[in-house]
Amino acid sequence: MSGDLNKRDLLCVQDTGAATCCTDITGFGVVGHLLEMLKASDDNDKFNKHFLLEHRYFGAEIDLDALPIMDGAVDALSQGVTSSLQSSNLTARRGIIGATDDSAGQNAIRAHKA
Amino acid sequence: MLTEPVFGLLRYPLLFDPQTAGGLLATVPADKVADTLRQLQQLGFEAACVLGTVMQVPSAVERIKVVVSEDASQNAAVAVTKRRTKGIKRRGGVTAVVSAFIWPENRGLHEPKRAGGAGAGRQLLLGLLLGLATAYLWRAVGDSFSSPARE
Repeated sequence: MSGDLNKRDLLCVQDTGAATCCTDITGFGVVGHLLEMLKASDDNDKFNKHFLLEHRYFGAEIDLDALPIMDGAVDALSQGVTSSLQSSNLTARRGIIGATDDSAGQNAIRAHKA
Repeated sequence: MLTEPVFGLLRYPLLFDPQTAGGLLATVPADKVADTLRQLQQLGFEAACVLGTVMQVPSAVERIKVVVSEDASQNAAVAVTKRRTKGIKRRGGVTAVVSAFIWPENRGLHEPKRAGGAGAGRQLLLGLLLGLATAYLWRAVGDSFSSPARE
């Protein structure tokens, strides 16, 4: 098992030299962790700040069709079953373009429940 | 009120779904995406995929655009599911810290790139500690995917 673990780290970070940053998706979900990575990548150079030059912020476009989904996850959602952390994780929707509504995401669950 | 149709999709809330054993999320330069995916899949990470693209945005607040599209992206974030490891989020420091995990077993396989000097010893110690913690967590939650009662 740890062989796989090491292989993946090796591949991800060293072997191809491909990854420019990397994290594991845990309690904050895909969006929460992606946001943290994006924020950490911002160009907050002190020189730029001092001379009022443009800051560079990084964002991402996520393809919902590409999201790997485990068996049963959508079924559970359609019955209104979510994790206890779901509501607090939803605060990360502030980072999503257009998702300013408080009930974003919850509406989908309710609509399918009804 | 839904401002975009995509927010009404049942898959959308899954973007906020917490995972106890989620996959790795990594950014990979566009020209290396195909190679990286192929190698990950050869290693058995069949769910490895391109999740989206990274770009410069004007706002520090709203950064992520959620779309529904069949188009494969060019600059990629690669998501890996169903296997677990501990990635360390460090801008510019990923190689040093994560590679520390694999020194004990794979030193012969690939000589890790690391800067010499006073920081190297600390990095090794940190790496070993993180490695132990990862091994412990791996054993603790490694089988959670086979147990439907756990998240």
